[in-house]
Amino acid sequence: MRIINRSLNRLGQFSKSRFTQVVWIILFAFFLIFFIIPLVYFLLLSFFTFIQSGQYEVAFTIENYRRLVSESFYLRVLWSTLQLGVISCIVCFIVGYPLAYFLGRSPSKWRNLMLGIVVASLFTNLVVRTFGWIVTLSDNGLLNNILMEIGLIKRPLQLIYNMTGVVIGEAQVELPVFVMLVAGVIQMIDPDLEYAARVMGADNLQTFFAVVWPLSLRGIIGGLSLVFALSISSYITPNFLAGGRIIYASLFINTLVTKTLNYPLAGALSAILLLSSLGVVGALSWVSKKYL
Amino acid sequence: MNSRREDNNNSSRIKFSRKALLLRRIYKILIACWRFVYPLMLVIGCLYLILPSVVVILASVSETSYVTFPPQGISLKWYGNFFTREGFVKSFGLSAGLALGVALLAVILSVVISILVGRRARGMQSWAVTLAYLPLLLPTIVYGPALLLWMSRFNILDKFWSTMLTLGSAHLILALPFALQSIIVGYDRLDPAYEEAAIVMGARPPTVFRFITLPLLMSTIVAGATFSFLISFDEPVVALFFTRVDFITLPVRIFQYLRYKPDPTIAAIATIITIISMILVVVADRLVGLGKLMGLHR
Repeated sequence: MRIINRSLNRLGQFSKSRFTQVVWIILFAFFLIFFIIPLVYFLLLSFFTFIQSGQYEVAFTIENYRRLVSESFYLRVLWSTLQLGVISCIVCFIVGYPLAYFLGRSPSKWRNLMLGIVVASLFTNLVVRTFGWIVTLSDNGLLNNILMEIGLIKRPLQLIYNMTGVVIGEAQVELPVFVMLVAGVIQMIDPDLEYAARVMGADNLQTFFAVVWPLSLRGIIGGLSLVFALSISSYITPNFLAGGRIIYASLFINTLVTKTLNYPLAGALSAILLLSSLGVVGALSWVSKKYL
Repeated sequence: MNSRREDNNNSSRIKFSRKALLLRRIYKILIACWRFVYPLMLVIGCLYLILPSVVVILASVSETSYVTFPPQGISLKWYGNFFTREGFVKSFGLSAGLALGVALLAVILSVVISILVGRRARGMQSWAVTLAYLPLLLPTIVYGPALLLWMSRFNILDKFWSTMLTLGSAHLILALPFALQSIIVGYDRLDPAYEEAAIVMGARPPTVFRFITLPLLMSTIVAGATFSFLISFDEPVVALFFTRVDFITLPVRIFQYLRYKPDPTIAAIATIITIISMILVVVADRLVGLGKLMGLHR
């Protein structure tokens, strides 16, 4: 008996040995060098003074931030980015919630097919999907061809190189994430609660609004905050589907870093982007923990 | 007086019930509609999700040199371009090699972390896990420039291998949350009784790990590796910032190609990539089950 106890203790101590500490230190150093320090460095840059392309002076200033929130061009960039985030959330919710409910609740044999579709679209290359949207949405693309063939429209609809195109592409990118998250939450709801509502005489709709909807609200809020954070910082989709006619914060960061070489301003814009996505996720999760 | 009140009551009751009847009828109609609207919404949602991939696959077999819809004639000539156009095969090899390395390291790190953290993470250790999950929320468009500017301070990005190592580390950090998620979940589900039994029989921790823990975790490990591979293989944004003449990953190559001449060659390559991803996803599904991996049971 004593031997068994000692051996079990040894397994416990395995995670406190010198070897373990070394492993932790290596892991931490790796994250420090390749993850934390670069970000902190980039954010520090945002407080330096820009001189000319590629050059900056180590002198503390908040000029970069002041420019971003005062000049109308930058304000327009921030505004269209915000718009993209909010509209993507709305589209994801409307299209995604029924899918999530079906995935989380239905015993149907189609469920596996739908799960396959959702996961497959989650793991399709981003550039490939964007290319697919270009082919689908352009003036002589699939959608316009079909609509004109049916006779619904006379002239091709402008579906690409504007807000519509970007939202269509972006929402499709975020949709699988939202659906998987919410489906997980809906599945966690105890079916007995729904049976209880049924026993008390509620019909489908009443059961849904009395049980499933309030209990899935936390998942919806979590999913939507993630969709918002991902879509305001997405780069590939707006790059192709906006066709340079709308400038988003992510596109502008790229221009600042690779073309005009204004690193401090890029740092400031990145800080705003990072803080707003982390802020939205943090604030919404706090709200949903507190009030739901 | 009395009769008047009764009258009032009567009329209001009639009014109310009429309204209720109307509401009830609308409600019934809505429910009846819902029976058709709900499946329709599901079908539209699924179509919306797979539309771009399907369109790309159809475009890749088109006869014409510009991408049209519907494709005029069927041909596989664009698939040949994948092998003859300069650079695509090289980029494919580079991406695959990078992704393999990332997948291997991500899995090793995840196994080490989940064993060390053990089944009950607390204090410093759960803090470390939080750190590993943080990249999930990190916009790649911020991370790419940040890492580029930081690394270019050391003047090491002018060599192929140092670029490869830097981008590999970045991809590792981006892939780690996914690998860690599947392996931690797998380790949590693992019944500790198996390990305890081995210890009771006198096995030392390394032996327990080698003969009990590792084999039991194998399916989740392969799934985690698959996801890490796909994350690295498909990642275009950070890679864009580390692109050099001799270092162009496949997504970046497609990205650049797409900017000037989107012809069906791109569609053919995109189809090849999509098929590879789908094969990997199906492998992960057979091993662990997609639902389980994504946090759904059943």
